[in-house]
Amino acid sequence: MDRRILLRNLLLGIPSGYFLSSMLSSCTKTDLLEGADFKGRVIVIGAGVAGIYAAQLLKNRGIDVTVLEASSRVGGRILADDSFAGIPLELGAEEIHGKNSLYYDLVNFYFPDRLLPEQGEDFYWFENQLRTETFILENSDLQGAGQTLFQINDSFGSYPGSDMTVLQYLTEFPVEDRFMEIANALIANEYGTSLNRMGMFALKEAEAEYSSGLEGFFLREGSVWDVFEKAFPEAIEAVLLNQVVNKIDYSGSKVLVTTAGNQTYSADRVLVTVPITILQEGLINMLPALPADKLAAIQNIFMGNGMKIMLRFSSPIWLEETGSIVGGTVIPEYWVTTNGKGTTAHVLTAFVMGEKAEALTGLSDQQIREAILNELQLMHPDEDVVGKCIGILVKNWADEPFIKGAYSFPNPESTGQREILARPEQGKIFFAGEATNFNGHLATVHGAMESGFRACKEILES
Amino acid sequence: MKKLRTIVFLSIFFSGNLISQNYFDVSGGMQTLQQTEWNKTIQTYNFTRIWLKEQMPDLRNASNVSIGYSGVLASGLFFSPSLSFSSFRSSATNGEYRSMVRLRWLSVPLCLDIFPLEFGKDSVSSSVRPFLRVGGGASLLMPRVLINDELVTVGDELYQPMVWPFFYTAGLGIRYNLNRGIGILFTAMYLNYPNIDLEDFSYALNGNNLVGLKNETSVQSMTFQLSCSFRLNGPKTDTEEVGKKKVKFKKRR
Repeated sequence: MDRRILLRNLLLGIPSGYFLSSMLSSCTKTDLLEGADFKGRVIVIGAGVAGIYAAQLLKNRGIDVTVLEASSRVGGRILADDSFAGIPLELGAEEIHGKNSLYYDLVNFYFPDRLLPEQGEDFYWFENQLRTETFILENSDLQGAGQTLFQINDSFGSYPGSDMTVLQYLTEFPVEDRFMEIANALIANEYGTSLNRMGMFALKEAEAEYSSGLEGFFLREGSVWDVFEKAFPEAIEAVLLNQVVNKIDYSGSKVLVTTAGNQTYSADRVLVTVPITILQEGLINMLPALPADKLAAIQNIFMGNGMKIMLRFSSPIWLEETGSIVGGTVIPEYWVTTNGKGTTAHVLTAFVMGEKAEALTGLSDQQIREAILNELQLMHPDEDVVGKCIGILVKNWADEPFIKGAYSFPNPESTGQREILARPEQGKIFFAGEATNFNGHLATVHGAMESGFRACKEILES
Repeated sequence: MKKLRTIVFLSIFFSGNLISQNYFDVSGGMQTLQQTEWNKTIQTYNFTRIWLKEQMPDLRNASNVSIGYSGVLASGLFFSPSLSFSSFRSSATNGEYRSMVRLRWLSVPLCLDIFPLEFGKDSVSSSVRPFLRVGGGASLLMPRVLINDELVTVGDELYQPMVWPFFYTAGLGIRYNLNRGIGILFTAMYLNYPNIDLEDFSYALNGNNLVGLKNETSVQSMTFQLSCSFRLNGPKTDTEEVGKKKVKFKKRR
């Protein structure tokens, strides 16, 4: 072959190879929503994180969406108060859990400068003294018991034993009684409950899949809902407030949604994002009734009682380096909310869930204030705690008529139930919300978002 | 046992040197990927991050460079190990926000080049020599997910796995000797990876795997390469070697 001919062939061959490869690539072109051609109307019930995010995802695909919200505001368990301390104080969801999540990405995109890593040092209320983590880890008198305490969280995801409550497990094996209040704060209170109400299998189910990371972030300024308002304006525009849905009839070709005001909406698909408590109490009548396993799942996933109490002080009663105080008997966890937020206000958040929250429910704000200040006085004996406290703001999520609690938690009965709860019914009724997250991110904002995505995908593919 | 394997490998690798028709190839070209699962993970990222206007494309093509060696084993049969590198990327920039998946792909194919027209012949009459290449090997894959140029974490650990999948390969090539010292080579190779598990890829990129995306998949790949081929120990006389025998070239006038 002539050299020129060969060169010509090669020069032709290279682009041919490129086109061939492109052709081969296009042969295997993938689409996440291949064959998803749903174009009907969707009603989303509930304007919390899952509902708003799912609505926006659907709207982006050109779907006609209406969001029905029972209360007079959007946001669900996201709620801020601007008046108590002159800066927005989150009365609901506040912390961004880990850097690897939808929610973190959302904040990092719109407000990267507002991401505020957890500030200050953790102190532990241990044997009537405030101790640092270093003390608990390194004190020779504790003989390594502190290490067991702080490392035990890492082992839940691979728990090999039989099912029991977390309290039984901790009592039988690894954690000394004197650490139990701290363990309750670190494990159970974070999950929105108490140690005796959590199951090892359910906890294992959650922890094994948890992947978003352990770093905590807050917002330096603004409120959590600012982020959602900025990101999902079309979904928020689609919300109709004060629409208390009490009936969903999916027996016909269309789904009919009826409100307490006798307004009826018709749709092709309905996405239910209401808190699990609303379903448990049968406040939405389903026609036909949901299958037995779904009804069982609804009853088997518990939501804890939860309160956030803001205490404003004229000056700090806590040590300058304090980030949080863990292990109180009245309040399992306090943190200094105003740390790093560029304000002169001094606010301590008291975060109490489960049995301890129930113990405070029914008390007046004044009684709650006294109980908490007594505990804080014990922790800070040299400070005039009562004298410096200039205000209290109590948010009890059990009092919210359309929420009735804080968030779901891994109770023993809930093992394997979230996936059943999340399952669509007859291709018409879909479910989202933090309680339906069966991949380890229950009880979180990003878990609610993930469930909204999962339900949206199911609707588009239905 | 390990020592024995090394000796056997080196014996094969350098057998060409003993036979004395050896080439060193420097190649450039492209590599394509045909797979579905990882692209679904990227599509999930695009779908869920609706606030990002520019979306991340699928992992499809990458430029590829390699170095290789060809040593004759017998007439019409060469042993051709090589080392090739591709870096697949899928990235999107939205204002100050950058998302990127980077998949570095280092392969070590050990191949046989079969020149069917030269089997049993003592001489090569043409300087254009088509051949069939078959073989297999292992690749080192290093998937990374970077947001704003920072590696992401899964749990609290940086996501930086290394996986070693095996593959087999077959393809066609053509070698053309420009002169006695330099030649050019064009190869089109198909590579099949029966199974590659990009551990936790969906968790790394999406932060979850709620819709059951698979990190594990079979992968088909094509490489198209143009090589510059250098004879390492060419003949001192005007001959073309085939095996151990030396044959007179036709005189060119």
